[in-house]
Amino acid sequence: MSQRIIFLTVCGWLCLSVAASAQEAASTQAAVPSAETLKASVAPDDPQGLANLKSVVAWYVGDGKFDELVAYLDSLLRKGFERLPDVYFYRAYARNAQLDSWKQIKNWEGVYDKGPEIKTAMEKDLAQAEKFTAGRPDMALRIAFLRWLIASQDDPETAAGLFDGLVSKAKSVPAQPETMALIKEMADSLSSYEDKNLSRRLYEIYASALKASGPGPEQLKKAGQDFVQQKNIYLAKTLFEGYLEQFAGDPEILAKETVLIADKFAHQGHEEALDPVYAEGLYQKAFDLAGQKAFTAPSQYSRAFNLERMKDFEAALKEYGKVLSDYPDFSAPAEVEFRASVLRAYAIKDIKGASSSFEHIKTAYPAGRLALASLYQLGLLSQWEAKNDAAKAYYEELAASAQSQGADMEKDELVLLSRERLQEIEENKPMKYALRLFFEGIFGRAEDAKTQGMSLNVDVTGRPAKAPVNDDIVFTVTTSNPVTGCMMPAYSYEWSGETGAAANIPNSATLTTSYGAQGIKVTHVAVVGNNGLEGVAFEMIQIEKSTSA
Amino acid sequence: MAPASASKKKVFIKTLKDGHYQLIVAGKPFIVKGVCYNPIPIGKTHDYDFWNDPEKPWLTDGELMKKMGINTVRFYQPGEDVEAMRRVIADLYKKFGIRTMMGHWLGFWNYPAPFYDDQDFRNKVKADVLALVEALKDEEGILFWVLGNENNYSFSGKINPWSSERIDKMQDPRQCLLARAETYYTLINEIAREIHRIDPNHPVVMGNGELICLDVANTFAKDVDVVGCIIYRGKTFGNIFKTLKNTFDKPLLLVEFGADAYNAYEKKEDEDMQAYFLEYQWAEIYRNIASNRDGVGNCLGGVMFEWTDEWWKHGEWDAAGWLVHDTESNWSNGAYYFDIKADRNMNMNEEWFGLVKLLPEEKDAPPGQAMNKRVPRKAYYAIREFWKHPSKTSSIKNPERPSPAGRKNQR
Repeated sequence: MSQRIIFLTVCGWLCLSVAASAQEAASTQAAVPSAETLKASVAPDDPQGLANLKSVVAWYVGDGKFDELVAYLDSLLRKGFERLPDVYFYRAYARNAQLDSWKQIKNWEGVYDKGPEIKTAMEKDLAQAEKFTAGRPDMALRIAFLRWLIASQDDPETAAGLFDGLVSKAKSVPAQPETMALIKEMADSLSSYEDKNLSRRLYEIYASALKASGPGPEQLKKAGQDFVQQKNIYLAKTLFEGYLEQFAGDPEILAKETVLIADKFAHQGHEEALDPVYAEGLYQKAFDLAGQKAFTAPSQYSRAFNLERMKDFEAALKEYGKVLSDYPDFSAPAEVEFRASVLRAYAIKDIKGASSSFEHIKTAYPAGRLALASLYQLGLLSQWEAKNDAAKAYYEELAASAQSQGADMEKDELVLLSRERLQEIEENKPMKYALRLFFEGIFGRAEDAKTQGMSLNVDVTGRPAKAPVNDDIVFTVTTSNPVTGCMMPAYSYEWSGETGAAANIPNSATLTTSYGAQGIKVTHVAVVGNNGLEGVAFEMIQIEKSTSA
Repeated sequence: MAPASASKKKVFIKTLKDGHYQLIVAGKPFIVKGVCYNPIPIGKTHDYDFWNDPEKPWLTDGELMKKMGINTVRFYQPGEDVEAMRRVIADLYKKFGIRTMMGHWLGFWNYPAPFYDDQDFRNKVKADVLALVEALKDEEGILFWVLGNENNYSFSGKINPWSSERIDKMQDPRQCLLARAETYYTLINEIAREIHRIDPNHPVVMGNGELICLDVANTFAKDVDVVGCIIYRGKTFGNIFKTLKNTFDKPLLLVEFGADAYNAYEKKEDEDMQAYFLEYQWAEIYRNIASNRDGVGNCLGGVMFEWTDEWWKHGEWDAAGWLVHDTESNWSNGAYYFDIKADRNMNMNEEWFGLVKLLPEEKDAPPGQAMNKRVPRKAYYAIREFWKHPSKTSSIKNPERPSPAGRKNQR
């Protein structure tokens, strides 16, 4: 990376637009004004002259010529610019950029040995700049921001006060588009560096100004949607909340609109949710306002699915139940029933209730893939309960149904799995080790105290949660680690259930696979340590028709 | 009354009127500003013989350490050559004023597992430690003896498990854990007593992982002088000072703490992150040393993990890997929150804890330069400044700040 690029990166937002315009100019060969030309056109009382000054600063900083920039700014002070705040500000800015460049190249001796002296000089310059900010709200804001930025590196307590000052200034400046854009730019900068709390305070000012400018509700909604696209979640939330305010007088409409906003933040399956916890908060708020009337069938499904992805299985089961009971016209009832049945079996541990639900699926939707999946689950639950005749019957019924559905009997995963189970039953063997561990972990072994007191909380998450056939799915196991310092206990990860096309199932915490057939796949994992079984988890992944098919 | 010269040599802990504990070394209060010292060169592994390295890395390191303000190093395990150890300890002390905490694993990494419930094994461990003490007790640079290092994590049976027929007969996992704890801490106590008998001048520190099982130690290891905690809690040590005061009221030395300098989420070296955590940690240590009214007053100082990076640690069985600065994390700790969103939350990079990083030496380097180059990281300077001007808030840098040169979010 060239020095120039490094320092353009270093330049940061304070000067970003300047650097961009300089680069833009550089890219259009014909119109490139040289730094010397720009310097000749710098003037204190003319907007273009100030813009030229910014460009000159960007050139120097871009080339890492901090001392030269300071010398140039010093020369301006001798040429009648002494009442121009920009000169002092840029001098402080140049010194800050110099310190940052040292940090970038890890010149820590420079930072720590010369830093204090440089900071004193910067503070002097900013104080001087501040004297001449009347009629220059933009400069007042930039000075406040830079002052906070400098303090935030050494002195959090002072920085907190300075940030309060910046916020006060931002609130008091006239809400003109340019100043508001500057405030948003500052907030974006803070947000991108993960300083969310600080960025929020500035976004609030920007959002208030936006709302105060009198946009229609639809404009606010659109602005919120735009920020969703930009993944600026906080600002999107603020604007959506502004949009919802208009419905305050009508709880039912407010609730319905709230649900629609919640849907945007909830897990939908194909990609990561924007903010599932926030979404559930909105769903709950809507429910409190208008009860079930607030929800359409898809939104009610979204709420349940969102809760399932958040691993709040009990709540998810309740919400799936509402999809089935309150929305008879919902387009995918078998899917909901299947998810609810799996949760009933492995989260609530209600074998009887789950079996009854799986029975209903195979009867009500006999021609679908979920009928086969239900038969496999019924077989498993029966086999676990040592009802081998029943289990055998379910596995055989699965094979017959699969054949009648036209499944590839040599490749279909459910068919192959049920054959494995049938063989176990016929040979009077226990379930395959990994599968047995999972069931022992879920339902416990009466004779073994260890499975009653498994010490780990284990989660498995498959991503994406909904994908076309043959797309990669990555399952990842996370565990609540016991406190063991840097010595991680050695765990073995025993995968079972529908593990898809992966040829070799690893003994590790990550499994990457794909599935050749549609349906909801139920995958399990058991985590085994020195003391035996430490925890188990399961996951449901939905495989859909290939979009290219 | 002991002669003045003898008392000058003595290292001891003074209990102040307000119940605070203060370490006295050579007649003066002493705050341990320490670093774990295990400078295994690139391409070598844990069997590297530091003590006899002809390049004498402790001379280069000692000078750098002195400039930083370090006054103590901690060795985890002695070498086999007593004379070589004496030379290193003396060099560090006489040339740089750096004192030595000499540790012993207590057979924890023996193969097969340490049989702490076996009398022969206990006798052997005890004899090893006492021979070490006998050999080095008169070295001027010795500060403490450190017994064990996180050996208590084995009590649960999850880490480096050990047991015995007697313990196996107990069915209840909790009973097994307590039995292992009692077994181990009684051994610690026996050794501590013996050390006191042959060397009354240097306190005995017990290296314990976190505060785990110290309630058991309170009963069975009363004779240790200092609790040495190995602790990784990120920005704050939390309740450790108060909890120890209330459960096992001994002086506390943080014998291993720190932060790595590799961001497993952003997949790049992150010196800001390391410096940030270390500065907060030191601020808290200083808040809890004797005579500071804001704290508990039971802390004697701290020993950072560690002086240099160690390139051998990840995949230690693969010699080719010793030449690679691995970036794959091998443990997870949510308290180090900047990179906890790394894959599977594995964010701690064992090979990247150095206050100084190592660079491979030039090929065919002449003698004296055939040593990995040391490059101090930001934390080296940040802590140097902290020690010059310790205060509760000053000098704490926030890596979250949106500095133009900062860590822009790549997400």
